[in-house]
Amino acid sequence: MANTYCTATNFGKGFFTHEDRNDFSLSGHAGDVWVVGNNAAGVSWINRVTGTGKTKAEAQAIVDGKVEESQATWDALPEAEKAPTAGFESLTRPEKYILP
Amino acid sequence: MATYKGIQGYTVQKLSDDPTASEAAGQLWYNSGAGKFKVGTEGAGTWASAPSVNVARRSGAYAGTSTAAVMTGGIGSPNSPDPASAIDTETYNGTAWTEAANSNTGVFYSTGVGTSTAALKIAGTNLSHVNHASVESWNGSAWTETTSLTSVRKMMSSAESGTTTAALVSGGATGPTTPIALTETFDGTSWTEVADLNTARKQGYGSGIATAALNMGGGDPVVAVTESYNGVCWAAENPLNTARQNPGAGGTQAATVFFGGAPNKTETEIWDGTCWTEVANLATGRQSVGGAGTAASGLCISGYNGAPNNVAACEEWTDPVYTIKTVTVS
Repeated sequence: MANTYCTATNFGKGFFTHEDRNDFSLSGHAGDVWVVGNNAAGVSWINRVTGTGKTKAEAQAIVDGKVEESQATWDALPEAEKAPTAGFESLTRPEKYILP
Repeated sequence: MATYKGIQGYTVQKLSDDPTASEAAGQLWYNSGAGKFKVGTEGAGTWASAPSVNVARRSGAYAGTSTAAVMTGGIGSPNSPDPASAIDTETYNGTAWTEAANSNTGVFYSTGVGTSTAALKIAGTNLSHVNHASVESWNGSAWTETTSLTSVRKMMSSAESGTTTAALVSGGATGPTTPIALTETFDGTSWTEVADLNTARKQGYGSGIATAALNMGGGDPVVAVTESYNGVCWAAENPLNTARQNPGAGGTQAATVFFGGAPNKTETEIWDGTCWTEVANLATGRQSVGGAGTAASGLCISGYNGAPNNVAACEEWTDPVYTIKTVTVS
């Protein structure tokens, strides 16, 4: 398995270091979900940041829930704020995606 | 059995303390205090976590370095500009973001130039969705109105490492959406229109100084275009590998780090004065971010990542990454 999954709160400097990024793959997602390269350094990092291990399905469910929240927030916006012609940057309705 | 001296021609140094990581690159030594052999390595550039901002935001004005930056304004809530974040200012000292004096006019889609103690916040859109030409000057403690641009605009790029007396802005939009090619320079007293960009665009990002700048990416439509400015005119350069708008960047005309962008991109590219190279991704994808610093030491500030709120977390770029490792036997 190439990746392992956890939730952990990003506390800023030192949460992940340059050395960490060279030692294992890491990507952050909504709901404080982190997809971590499944090697010794990655597992050590999860312990260091007191992450809570998740299965891929659990991690996916957390992200999906946050995306659904985001979609509800988006849907509640006035139509003028969603339309690109209003002069806003190109934001689009958040969409669910599959974690790597 | 071969010895280290036999292979290298010299013995392993015995040191009571480790040298600095950059001095140690490529070296092996014995740390007598720790009783360990150690090696210094030089690795590829990567992003590390950095302190979060206090007011998560996107599309503000940013200036400074990776250890001394200022940001002001922007959009603080998911998609609705609010009065508080449109004037909110924070400064960064390399350790933490601290609230500072508010700017005078609440705007977003503005741009910044300068340092953490001498910066300009240039133009943007106000809370009534009216584009501005106004410019404010930051002295490290307060914002003061200064000479306005000759044209109202938003979503423009700046030569971010410029100064309060030598600044450059290019592109953006004067109306709701249509991108423009207009370029203006500031000499500390007045703004002057100079040669246009070759490709009109908005929501790109700029780097460099007023007489040696880059303008990268943008839209609409989304482009990978890179142009360089030599103090007289804009020239076409090799394009980005990934076309995008609403990215961040930091650096000079000769070396820039360029990252993020819509939609919630993690991709990072490095400019070496000739071409762009894909390098390590941001950990958290985002768009409409702030950029500061250089290609060797950059800062990705806040932004929007499609979550219910803007992302407060920042990331710092270092290239190369020097590391000291303890030699182990396994």
